[in-house]
This record gives sequence, structure tokens and C-alpha cells, in this order.
Amino acid sequence: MIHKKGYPYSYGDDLTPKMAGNNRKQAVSYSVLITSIWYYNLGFREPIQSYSPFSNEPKTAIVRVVETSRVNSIVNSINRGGDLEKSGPGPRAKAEALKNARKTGGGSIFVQGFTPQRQYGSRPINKPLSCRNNVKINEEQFNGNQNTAKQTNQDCTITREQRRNLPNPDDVIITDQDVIIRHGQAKYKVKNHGSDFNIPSKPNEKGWLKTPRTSETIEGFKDEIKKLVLRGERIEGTYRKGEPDQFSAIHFYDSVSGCNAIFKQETKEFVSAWKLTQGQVSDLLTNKNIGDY
Amino acid sequence: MDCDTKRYFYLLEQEEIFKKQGVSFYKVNREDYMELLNYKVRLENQNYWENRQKYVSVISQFLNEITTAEDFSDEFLDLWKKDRDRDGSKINFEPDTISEEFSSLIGKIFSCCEIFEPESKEEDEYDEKWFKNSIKEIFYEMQKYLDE
Repeated sequence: MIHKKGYPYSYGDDLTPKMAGNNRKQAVSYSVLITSIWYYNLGFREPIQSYSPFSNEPKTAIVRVVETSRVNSIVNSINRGGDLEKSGPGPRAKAEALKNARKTGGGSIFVQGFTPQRQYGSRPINKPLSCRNNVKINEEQFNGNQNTAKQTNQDCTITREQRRNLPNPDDVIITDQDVIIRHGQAKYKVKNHGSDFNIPSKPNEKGWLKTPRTSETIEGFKDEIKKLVLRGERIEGTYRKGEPDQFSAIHFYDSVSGCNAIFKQETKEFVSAWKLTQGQVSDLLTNKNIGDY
Repeated sequence: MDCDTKRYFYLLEQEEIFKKQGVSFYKVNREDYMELLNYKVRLENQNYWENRQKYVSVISQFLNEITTAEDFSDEFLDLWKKDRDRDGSKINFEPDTISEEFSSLIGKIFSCCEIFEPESKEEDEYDEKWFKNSIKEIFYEMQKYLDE
């Protein structure tokens, strides 16, 4: 009597080992096919991800990612001229999947190698792509010291110069020349340059001549700059030419007093004003620039 | 009195006449104005050069941290203004050739003082660190002329 081989199908005593082997292969194929159809119908679908390393790569290049770490090798294989039209894995991919299956303890090569699976926890935490942050929140910013939080926010968003040039009701607009004297910038500059415009000034405790920042001196300074703008010669040139922070500027130079006012060409805002040295006058009239020596 | 001196005084007189009338010499006669300006630049350079010891002292005190950045800025500007406004009647038309270079470096320091933000905090664009480094660089350059 011939011992029956094969499971689960046999057709009598004449079942041969070859037939039993075929039966097993068929059974495995059916089970995989049925499982795949069930998975698909039950909604365990992974969105198809396409990777296009180059903008001119066809969008049909679909790569199903099995392991995150293998993305690069797959992309490289495509770049090397892999067959983008084939619907299933090639022999090399099958062999690799089989190898992985052995490493992980067996199972179908389809399940282990090519069924889309989300690899939870494969990405290291707090790498650049992470949305988590390990920054300790300073509770003082929210509860204790609100001034600190406000100050920090301000420092992060605008520079001191920008803050000085925020719109103010006391700004002076000179429509004839299309420029503006911001109150904050005039207040800042009056200390060092007020005396050049005959604004009352006095030596400070160290003996250096300075103009106090009072509402009278600031208003007086703005008035003098306005007069200078209206009577001076308009010269469109540069400020600090040749330096990294150079910018296009509008100068208003009065050759009688020797004073000059500088405005930013881009914003039309007042930058500074003082009585020029002879060297600065020469630079202005020759090169239309101040601040490059 | 040499030729340059005569011409200088003549142009200076012309400028004064127009100034009294409230008219710009520059607008009336640009050529003469520019000629006068060249004389004035040479004299001004000489003023800065003659006062070099004072400038060196003020800069050294700042770089050696004897004075603060803000005090240095204030003191330098005070000194610079005095030399700018110094009486141009004491003329010397044989200025040292180095005076032009020295004056140019003084102009660079003025430019740094002008954009320095005394109230800035660390890592602001024109903070104290930036200011000190800039002055240090200019001072190294200045020493070349002082050693000659």
C-alpha cells in the first residue's frame, strides 16, 4: 500500500509525491489570493506612494515602500533603469524579500515583502522631521513675567531700527519731496546731531556736547530737517557704498550750512542728518555717496 | 604767501559774500566751489592728523575696556565735531601725505559710531561686539600710518 502524501487533497491510493507537491503549491496560491482580496475589500489599503526623485521622472513610477531604510536603494534601482512598467516584483526583489522573510521567521514572501505595511516607530524620534519638540517651556513667559514674554516676542520680530520707524501720529510727511520723518528715528538721532541744527544742547556730565531728548528738541529737530529737505539739493545716490549694508539713498544737501539729511530710497524714511565734513561733502558731490572712505 | 594760499583766501572770500546774501556759492559757481572744497578737504585732513594722539588715546581706552562703547562713541563724536569745525584760517598747505589716509580712517570710525546701536542686545546687527570688532580693525590699519 502506498502511503498517502499531501494535504489536504488526495484522490486515492495512486497519489504520487509529485501530485501532492502540486496540490500544496495550489493551496498556498489560493490562500494568498483570497487573503489579499479580503484585505483589499475590508479597507486595509495603503495609499500608493510615488517617489519622483527628478522633476522629469514619469509620475507612474510607483514604489511601494516596505521599509523606510530601503527607500534610497529602491529609488536608486529606478534610476539605474529599472523596469517601471512591470506590475509585480522582479526576481531580485523576490530574493531580497525571501531573505527578509527568513530573517523575520518565515511567512509568505508577499506578506513580508510586498504587502504595504506601515512601519510604526521606525523613524527616530526628534530627528529633523519630527514634530515633537524637546524645548522646555518657560512658564514664566505665560504666567509669571509677562513683560519678558512680550519683550522676547518683539525682539524676535523686528529690529530696533524697524521699531523706531513704526508709524506715529507725530511723523512728518513732506509731500513735496515724497519723504517722511519718523518721530522715533528723529528722537534717536537728535542726541548726537541736534547741535548741528542749532537745537539747544549742553555738555553732559562728562563734558561732551549732547542734545537732550525732550519733546521740544525732537520737534525742533524735525522742523529743521524739514526745512533742509525743502531748501536743499536733492541728490539720489547711496549710503555706505561698498559696505555689506549699503543702500540707495536720497540726500538733501544744503551747501550754505553744510548740513545733509539722508533718507532711504526704498521706504522714503529719514535715516540721519548732520553737518558734513569737507571730505563727506566731496564724496557726496563727486560720488553721490556718504559713508565710504 | 604762496599761490595756493592766495587762491584759497580769494575763494573763501567769495563764498562768504554769497553766504551773507543767503545764496549758495555751490549754485552760483560750481567750478570755483569744488576748487575751494579741495582746499578745505586738505586742511581738514591736516586737522585730524594733528590731533592723532588724542584719537589714539580715546580708541585705546575703549579697546582696553577702560571706557564703555557708548562713552567711546560720545567722546569720539565730540572730538570729531571739534576738528570738523576748527577755524580754517590757520592754514598749512604742506599737509602730511599720511593725513589723507588717517582722515579716511577717522571717517570710517564716525560711520561706525553713526550706525552703532548702544541699546542693542547681544546678536543684534550693530551691537557692542560688532562695534568693538569694527573699531579694532580700523585701529590696526591706523597703526600702520602712526608707525611711519
